[in-house]
Amino acid sequence: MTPFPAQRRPTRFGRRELLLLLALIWSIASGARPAVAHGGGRPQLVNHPLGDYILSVWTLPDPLRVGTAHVTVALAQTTAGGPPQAALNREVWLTVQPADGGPAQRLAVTHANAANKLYYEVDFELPSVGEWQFVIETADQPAVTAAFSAPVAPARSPYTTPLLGGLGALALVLGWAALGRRRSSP
Amino acid sequence: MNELTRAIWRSWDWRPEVLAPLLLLGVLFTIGWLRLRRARCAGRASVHLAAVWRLCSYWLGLLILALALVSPIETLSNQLFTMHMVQHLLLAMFAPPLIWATDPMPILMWGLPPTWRRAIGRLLFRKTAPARPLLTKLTRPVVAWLAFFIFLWGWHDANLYNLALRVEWVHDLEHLTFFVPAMLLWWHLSGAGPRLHRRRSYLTRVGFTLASVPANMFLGIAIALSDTVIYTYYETVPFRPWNISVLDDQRLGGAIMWVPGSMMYVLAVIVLVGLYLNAEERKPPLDIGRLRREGKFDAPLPARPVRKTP
Repeated sequence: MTPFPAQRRPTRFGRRELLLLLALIWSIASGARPAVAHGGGRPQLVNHPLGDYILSVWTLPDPLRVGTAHVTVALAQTTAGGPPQAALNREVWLTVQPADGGPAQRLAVTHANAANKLYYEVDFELPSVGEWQFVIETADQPAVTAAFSAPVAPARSPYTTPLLGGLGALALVLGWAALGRRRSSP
Repeated sequence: MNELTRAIWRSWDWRPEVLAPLLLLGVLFTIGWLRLRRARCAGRASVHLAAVWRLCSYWLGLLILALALVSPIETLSNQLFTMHMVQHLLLAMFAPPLIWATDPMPILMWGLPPTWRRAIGRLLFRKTAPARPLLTKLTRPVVAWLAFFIFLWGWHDANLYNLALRVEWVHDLEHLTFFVPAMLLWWHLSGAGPRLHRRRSYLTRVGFTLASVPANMFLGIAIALSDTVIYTYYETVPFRPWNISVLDDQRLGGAIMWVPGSMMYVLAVIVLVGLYLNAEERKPPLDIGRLRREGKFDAPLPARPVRKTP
């Protein structure tokens, strides 16, 4: 029994329905956030002391650019000389400010924003280029903070990815056509 | 359940770019399967293709892919080598045979509208299809075996492995280059459609399956028996769930690659040998009487008359 036989038209699921399904799936997939799961990105602080905690921080994208940024925080705690364990469900805050002064953003860094619930994560907007200051603190030890600074580059054009995709598709089509022509020529 | 375990169980990464294609493939397969089941004009072939176990096996394969890519297995793979090996095992050793066992191509084609079905057949699979020569070359058994071997060993180089854990898109590329050659390899082992190459006998496929074992096994042994930490990324992880040391984690991961990874091939060999014996049993018995009448049991005559030497 071949799958290419038929003159019979399907009654329940036809081309229109398939296009709708593809459009639905495309719309879901195109809403995909940038890959930010499980502490990826550039490590800014690694095993840095923060009061009773050991702090690690990563930032995405790498390098940071104007637009949406993502910060991942890992809090560990050493108990009775054993290996460090995840310190979970703490209140963690991030303050972001241009290094040369300007309005600061104070953001809650939470498990809710994280794919890996052992980490704390937050998304926020970086509005301008230049050097930015990042300060991490926990609510139970507000007097102790950890800070780092990082340069923020200009935003990448929103057309870059579709343009590259289009060029790739065009190259494929041209390659296909060239192959077909070579095959058909005597 | 303690705080840590609860946090791990809640660590799902619902990635639409992973789930959407899996959902599309599942829906298409189900539609094709239902159409085949409803087809009144269909003969035994469609009844055979629309068996319930095929639907279950296909969805189980997709479910395993989803588990490998969005569940806590994925989110923990950056903290534990063992989890990463479990993930690779699911992607390359469990999902592909479950999917190919269903012979999915004709069922998926039946899920498409007829015009699309014919267009895909015309472009890819007919004898005169423009893409067929290239597809056939790219998917030869030797190419599939080499690609699987090279990508498996290449990505387990310490530098590339560490890079994959640091950069998300490299990690995705790693998974893609594990999964696609694994699918190609299992396609040849299973003998499922589309049939772009010469059909191989069961015994040839058994040989091909056995030839695939060393790629996995020797790498697993090398990692499991190593006395030093190969994948140093895991030493920089701020905390390790369940207090497992980096070296123990590495040994356990290597053992997972070695034993369950090789076991899947052994299972495949058992299934193929079973199918071979089954096919042999179904052959009609030899007609001994006819063969005797035709003189097939007579001793062959010498080609030349034997001369006596003086």
